[in-house]
Amino acid sequence: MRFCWKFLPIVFGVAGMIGAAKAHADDDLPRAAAAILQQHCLKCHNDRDRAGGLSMTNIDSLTAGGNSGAAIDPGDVDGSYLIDMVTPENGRAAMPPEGPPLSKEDIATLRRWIRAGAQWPQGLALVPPTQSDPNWWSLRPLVKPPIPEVDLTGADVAIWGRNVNPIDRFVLEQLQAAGLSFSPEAERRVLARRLYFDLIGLPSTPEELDQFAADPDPAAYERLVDQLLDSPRYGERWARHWLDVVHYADTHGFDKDKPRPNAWPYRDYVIRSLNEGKPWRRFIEEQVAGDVLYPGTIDGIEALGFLAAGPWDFVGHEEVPESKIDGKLARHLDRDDMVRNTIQSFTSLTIGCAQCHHHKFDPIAQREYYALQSVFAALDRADKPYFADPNLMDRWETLRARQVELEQSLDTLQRMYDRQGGLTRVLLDPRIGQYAIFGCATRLTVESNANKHLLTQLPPPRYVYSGTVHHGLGSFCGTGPLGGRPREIRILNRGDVTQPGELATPGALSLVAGLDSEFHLPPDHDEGDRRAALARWLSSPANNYTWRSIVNRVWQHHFGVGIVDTPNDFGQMGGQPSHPKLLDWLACEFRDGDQSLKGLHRWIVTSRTYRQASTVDPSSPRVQRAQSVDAENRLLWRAPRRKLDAESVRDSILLLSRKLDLTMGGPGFHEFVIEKPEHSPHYRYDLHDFENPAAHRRSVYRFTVRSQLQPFMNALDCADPSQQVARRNESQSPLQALAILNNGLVLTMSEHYAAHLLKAVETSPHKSGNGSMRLYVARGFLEVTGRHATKEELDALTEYVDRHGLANVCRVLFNLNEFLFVD
Amino acid sequence: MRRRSSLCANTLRIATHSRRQFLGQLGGGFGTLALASLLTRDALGDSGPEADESAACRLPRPPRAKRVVQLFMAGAASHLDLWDFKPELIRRHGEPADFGEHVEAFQDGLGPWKQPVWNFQPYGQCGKMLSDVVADLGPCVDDMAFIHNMVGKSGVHSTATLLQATGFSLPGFPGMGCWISYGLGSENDNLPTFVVLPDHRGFASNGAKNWDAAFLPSNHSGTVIFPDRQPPMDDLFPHASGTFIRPESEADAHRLLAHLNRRHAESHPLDQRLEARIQTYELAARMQLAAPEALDISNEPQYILDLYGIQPAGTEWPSEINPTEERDCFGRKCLIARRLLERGVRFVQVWSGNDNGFPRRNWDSHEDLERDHGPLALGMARGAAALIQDLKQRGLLDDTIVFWTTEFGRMPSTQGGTGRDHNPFVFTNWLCGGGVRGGISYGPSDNIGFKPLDRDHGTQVYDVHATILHLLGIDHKQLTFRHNGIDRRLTDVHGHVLSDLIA
Repeated sequence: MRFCWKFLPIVFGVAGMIGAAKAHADDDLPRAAAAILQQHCLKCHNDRDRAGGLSMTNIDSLTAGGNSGAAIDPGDVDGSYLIDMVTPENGRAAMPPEGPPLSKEDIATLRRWIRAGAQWPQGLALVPPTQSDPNWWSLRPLVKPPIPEVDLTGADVAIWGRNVNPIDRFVLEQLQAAGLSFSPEAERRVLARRLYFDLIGLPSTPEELDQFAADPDPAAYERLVDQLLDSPRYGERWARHWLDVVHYADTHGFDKDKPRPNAWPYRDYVIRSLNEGKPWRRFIEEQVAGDVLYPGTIDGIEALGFLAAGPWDFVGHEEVPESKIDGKLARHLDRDDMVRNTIQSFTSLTIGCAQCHHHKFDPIAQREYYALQSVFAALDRADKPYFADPNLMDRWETLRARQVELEQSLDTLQRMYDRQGGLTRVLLDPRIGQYAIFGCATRLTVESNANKHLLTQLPPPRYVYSGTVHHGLGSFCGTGPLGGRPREIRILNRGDVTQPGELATPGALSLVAGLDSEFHLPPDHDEGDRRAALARWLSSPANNYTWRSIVNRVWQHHFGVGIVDTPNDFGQMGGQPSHPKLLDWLACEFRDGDQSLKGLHRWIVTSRTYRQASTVDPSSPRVQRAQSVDAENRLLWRAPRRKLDAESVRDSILLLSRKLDLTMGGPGFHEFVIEKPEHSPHYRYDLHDFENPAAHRRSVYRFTVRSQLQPFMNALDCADPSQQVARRNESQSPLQALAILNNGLVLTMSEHYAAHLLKAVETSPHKSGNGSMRLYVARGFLEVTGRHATKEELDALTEYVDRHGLANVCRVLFNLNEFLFVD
Repeated sequence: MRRRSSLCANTLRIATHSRRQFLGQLGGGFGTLALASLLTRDALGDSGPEADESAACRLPRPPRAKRVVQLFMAGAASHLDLWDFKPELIRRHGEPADFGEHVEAFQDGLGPWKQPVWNFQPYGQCGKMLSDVVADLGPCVDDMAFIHNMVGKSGVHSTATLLQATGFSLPGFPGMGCWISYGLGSENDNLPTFVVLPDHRGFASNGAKNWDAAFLPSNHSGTVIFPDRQPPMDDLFPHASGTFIRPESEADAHRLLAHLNRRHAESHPLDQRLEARIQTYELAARMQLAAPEALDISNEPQYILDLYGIQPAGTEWPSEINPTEERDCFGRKCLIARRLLERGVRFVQVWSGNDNGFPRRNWDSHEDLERDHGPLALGMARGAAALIQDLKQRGLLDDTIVFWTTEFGRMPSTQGGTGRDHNPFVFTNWLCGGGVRGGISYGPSDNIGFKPLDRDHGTQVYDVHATILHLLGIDHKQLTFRHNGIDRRLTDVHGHVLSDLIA
């Protein structure tokens, strides 16, 4: 249903008014012509945007024209520029720039209209047509809905008691409206296994499951939830979800795909922030402008890795200066990535298409896109040095700034010298003043060396690869040499760097009702002020997108599908919320509370909605009805069965094999051998030694290579850091089966796991008598699936182990659907 | 032709879309032929309001082509020294280059005009002029269609390679083969639908980003095959560390897994993924048999090996680049490509040229064009010609498109030495087979091969992609996937079918 509306050409405003006159009848030629112009031209040629300097609002602006002169010459069809522009040649016309050319009938109407003198409807001023629906759900202000009163039926009370949380009331309200009800609560061991994977991405031990299953305390579940949320493993698990969204990786991507040795502090920052339960507002502000809003804090600096998380075109920056078209393009695309990453990650709005034209489906003007680009106009992606001690930071920055200055002066002198042909010209042309150059250079060299010495006296700074004012030399000089002044950003006609238009001023988006998109910055503001203003706009309690976006992302990771199933697009090409009131209630509660994700998790996972069983009996009338009404389970009449993500599979295999190294933080580990690092590093995954303990850490600490994803993780649908991934694909393919069957990690760990099982069962005080293979197999099955094997299953496994050994059994266990899916 | 109201047309498109997503989930080839027929029916008989109805653009029925092999020259192969004969450059050779306008060269050096390094001679009925260094393709020219006015968007390798490979200048978009895999599925479930044969000396710019599925389901990614590595594709066989695995344990493992997984699926009804996953293991086992067979050229007759320029396995090569080695390495990939196409692989991408490092085993000849382009072109032409002739003698050229491309061209001037700088303003592509009109040269470049003769109407990658999809029976505007709020296409919002290229 949700797709249907958008294919209807919804055109609001004047179009509706003049639409009736679209009959092209000669008796109302002016209105017919105006309707054609509005439909095809006004989007760009209006009073505000004036593409090519031309507005087509009314007859005066048409005859006044733009950069190419008058658009029409009343009475002279062939002398009218407009007709030239819209008349196709070989099936293509200059205008409109996109889509098919105007129809023959429309062009004929315009020709007749001009020939007849181009009369204009009295007082008509055209406005751009919009396809956006002003009632689209995400445009509505965020208002906290009342918690619905629902009648708990006898059966519900019997299963659940009366103590349901507000989430359940919202969900139940819609279930009951559809004649559906909750499924019973999942069996306790199933529930605990689900909770472990969901919150920390690792399996529990059978003993932990036993203990929980046997715990008589009515608050045992809540205690387990708290225990898992308090585990540092929680931050590692949930940071990965955020790193997917912001497309973090440890190499640049593009040509050469060089490593980023200092990207990881940002990854650690995210893990730390989630583990600390940092308020979301602060989490946003730090990532966009932490250096400005939280000066003197480590988090405020390391968070800026967000701005640089995406790919970077090394060649387009290092080898091509900004003065060239390709250099301009590289920097334009670089800022584009920063803009999209910021807006899409925090507000779930797609904005990239507004770089060429107004957003087709959402009320986002091209001008606003470039307003956002100008927020980041001073930045590049580079290693940002920092000190934990703010005094040291100050001292270091002063010295470093002087050093850059000195080196630039020396560089300039060197180039002057080179240009003049070196020493041979010195005596031939006294005007050149080579001696002056020598004198100056000597003085500068002395000072530069002294300054350098002072710098080396300080302890070395730490670095984080981040969005920063870059102080460089050569093609990639950044804005540092100009004092970090933002580059001039102009609105690019059709997104083309060779067609700069009007100057853009920094600002945000105007589509949030009640939130000012203008920054009102003083003329002498600096680049940090722009980012701080954007950060405040993003984190404002009035920003309805921000709060809906994050609660929806969290919901999605608990249920597989968000309340809005397009978590990166709340615009009109995206989905409708399945539970609109619940979404708004959660967003408001979250915003108005402590804004810690942990609180949000707690509400969700303690709800009846979350604690339902996923396995249902298809023969029961309740399930049959639910299947016929809501087979996709959007209303949540049962819990979804989830497939383990790549990280959980890898980490669990390592944990079960007792090889998982839980060391936190620091540089990422390699699962490849780097060959030919000097030009374009070759990342040879096929040469990796799977026994190397350095690579036995949690997957979130992998050194992620953009140009070549790790084959095993890739086969299991890990996120591709070249794109912002809000929700991973889930595929089943023969290549995936081959990966889990044959990958070196699975096979080495199968052997380690077998060795562990042998030892563990042998030394267990609970060992009941003989040490037969059946015991090892039973233990392995229990650990891998969280369930005791049935006798029949155990028979089959025991027969296999007797013939082929325990390592082969472990390999089979890692390939079980019951391991890879969580009920 | 039956017309529908726009609402109906779009409703059907939605149905197609979600069905496609459902099928995509299952991976491999489950029902993908059904999808292909759905798509083509949608685009053909019931042309919606968006469909281009001009006669030239009507989709061929049945489709003219079923599969594609793309030959990608990494580093940017010179159109001027291979395909696009410019006598004017011979006349002006050595004179200071005056382009008559400001030119931004990638590396700044705009030395004197440079004539083609090799002589050109006419071939075939059409009299196409080819450089001596690609003379091996002479017998094929009457089947080939050259496009001499290709224009790019950037002179930077990475973005330009992405543009030609994926239709976008940024990483994060599916390769052309992914889209075709997604649209048409496989003809053989036992082999990957889209296979990539990289230069064994390294990946080109952007590595796997040129063939990754990006937002499409991951089973549409290009599967990288290095025929000389063991295993030739990732995880095809147990890793060397799996010493405990024996053929008998393997067979029993498959049986045991199927048994346990089936029991699990039975106790967890209403979840198709569980059964689908069981089937992927059956397909995997079949792939383990099918892939090595497809990659084994040891039973190819000697005349075929000679046709492709393949030397005996284990031949030792000198450290300098040389034609015999280049023929061998490109020829092997072309022969394997033929074997894969024969067995139903939908799209094969063959790369010539590694990353743009040194010593050059790539087409990025800034320093010495003759040194690099010579052996690379001799090798490429031999393999490409053999592939075309071999496909033809097997009757496969009729429905197989051979598509030669590169990221951009090279400048008509030197850089001061004996190389040429990047030229994104014009370059050459060629197509052959699969319904392509042979013996033509389309869209001339100007008299020095600097820009298209008609500067306002250069051919773009979108047009070539649209044409290839068209020959495969797909309307490029209909093959979409919604991602982050946009219905993405291989051709973005562009693309015109080049009807002049269609036989």
